[in-house]
Amino acid sequence: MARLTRVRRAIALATRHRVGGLYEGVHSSLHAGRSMEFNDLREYVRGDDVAEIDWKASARSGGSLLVKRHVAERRTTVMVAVATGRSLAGMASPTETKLDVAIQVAGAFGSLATQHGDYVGLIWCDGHDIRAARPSTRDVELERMLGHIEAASTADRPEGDLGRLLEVTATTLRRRGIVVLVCDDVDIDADLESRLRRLVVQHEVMVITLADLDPTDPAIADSPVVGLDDQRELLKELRRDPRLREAIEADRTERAARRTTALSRLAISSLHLSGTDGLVPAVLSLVRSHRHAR
Amino acid sequence: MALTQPWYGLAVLVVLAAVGIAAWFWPGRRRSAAGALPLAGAARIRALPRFAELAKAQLRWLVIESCCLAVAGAGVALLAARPVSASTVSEERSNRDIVLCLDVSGSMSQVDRAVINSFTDLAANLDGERIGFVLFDASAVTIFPLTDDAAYIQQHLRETAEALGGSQLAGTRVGDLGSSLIGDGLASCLQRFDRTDAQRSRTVVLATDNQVGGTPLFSVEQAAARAVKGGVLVFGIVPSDNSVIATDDLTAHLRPTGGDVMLLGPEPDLSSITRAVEAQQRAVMTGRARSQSVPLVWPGAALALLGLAGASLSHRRRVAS
Repeated sequence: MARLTRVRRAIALATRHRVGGLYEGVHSSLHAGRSMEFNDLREYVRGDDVAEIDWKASARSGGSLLVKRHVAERRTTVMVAVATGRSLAGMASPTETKLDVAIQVAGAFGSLATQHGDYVGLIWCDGHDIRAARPSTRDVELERMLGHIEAASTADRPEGDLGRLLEVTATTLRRRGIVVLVCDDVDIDADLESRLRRLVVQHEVMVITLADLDPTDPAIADSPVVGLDDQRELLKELRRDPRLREAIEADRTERAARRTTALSRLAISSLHLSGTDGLVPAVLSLVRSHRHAR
Repeated sequence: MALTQPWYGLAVLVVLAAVGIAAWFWPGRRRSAAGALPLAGAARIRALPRFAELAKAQLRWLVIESCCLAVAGAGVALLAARPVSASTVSEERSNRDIVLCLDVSGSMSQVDRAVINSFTDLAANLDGERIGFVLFDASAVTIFPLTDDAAYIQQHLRETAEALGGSQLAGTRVGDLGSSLIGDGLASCLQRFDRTDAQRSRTVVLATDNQVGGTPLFSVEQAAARAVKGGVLVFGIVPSDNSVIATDDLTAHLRPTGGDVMLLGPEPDLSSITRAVEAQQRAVMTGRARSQSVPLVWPGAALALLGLAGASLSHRRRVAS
């Protein structure tokens, strides 16, 4: 549970003073009414989660198993779709890989959801396949999902296929839910936009993009930087050039602007992360602003 | 320039080339060094125009640096091959003694200056020999003994030419035996060779018209016989307008010494004299040539230093850019 513990600790630190708000955070917007009666029970049928059984009420009722119906119905699914693959093995900052950030952000969403009693599912790219983990409310499963992300993001893996990931996500999650897409610092092209549009119709969609390391960062001027895609070094001599730094910065800014435009056209909340520092507050404020936006 | 150890040079070249190839194909060279930061968006950065520009400049300097290193390697290989500047030092040159013998009798006064001029040119063309200069009429006067001081020779030949203007030269008319005693003059000249060891080649260049005007102690024939005995070559230089009988007579006497007689026209053909002397001498001293080799360090050192300097310059330029 090491990964999840780390995420939980970060959440605890970030939310020490606003625990009350945390639990409304994830999906209160889905459910306008919060005053459902608590004693709305119904008989257990096969397929209901065992955890939902109101044991005391069942004992009182004498024989039949009763489940808390309103809770069961209120539960939503947070589907974390992570474009795992080779590129996550790259660095996001001089000290953290993008995988660290991806795990942290997936863990944060999953943790927030499970703490609220929601289902958390994972869809990820495993080599050339897209795989999905069944949504669950249990921490053990969440931890396992984080393990899947880590295992599928080594440098020897192929690049994740974002288009297919979105396609599979749309077909996998049938009920209305929340889709958190974690992907690279991508440009949103027409194909990707149409796929996202389809998802948006069906679900709440949030996009988390992971920044790449800036190779011209003076802090890493002396350490070698190797491209993951071609295994060739980016020479230090070239990385020192200030004009290259400007060009990279301009390229990044332009891409971010294009992406923001495309995503705001689709009414998708997005977040660009370049490290785990301040990740949880950023996630919380994303969730909150997303709620306000609806 | 010759290479004394071409195989060493070749070996160095081969080793350097092998090291270069090994370094190029070294398996770890392209792989990332330990602790390298992996970067996912490298292709995007490589696609930037500024990156392409930088990479191009980098490549250019790298090529220059490699070329300079290759030049330096060639220089080192050249040094290892130990080049020498081989020159054939002809030992006979410093072993040549030439006595220039000039008849200053009245009959020769017309051509003396031309003869001295030709002697001057002869002395200038032959270097390393010892040259002596003797004037004779009734008696012989040594202007300078055998010497290899070229400046001294030139100076005295010039002074003698100036002194020849009409008046008699001191010491050439001693005694009452007559004038223009060719045999005595030649015999005197033969006496001027101070070393009589077999290692040296001895030549007399005798300029005369062979017009004897008195009773010499030695006839030309006797003097020539002494020359043959002493192993001296005697060349005759005769004015071109000289009487044929006198010239033929001189030629007949000088041929046995191994020498010959040349005509000196108003436009003296100096090269024929020089050539004749040199050819004769070479024939005499054949087999004495010795090759001398001086280590030639500077071309290799210069190549190596130049290459290294260029390589370090371009390296600094490359790293700094």
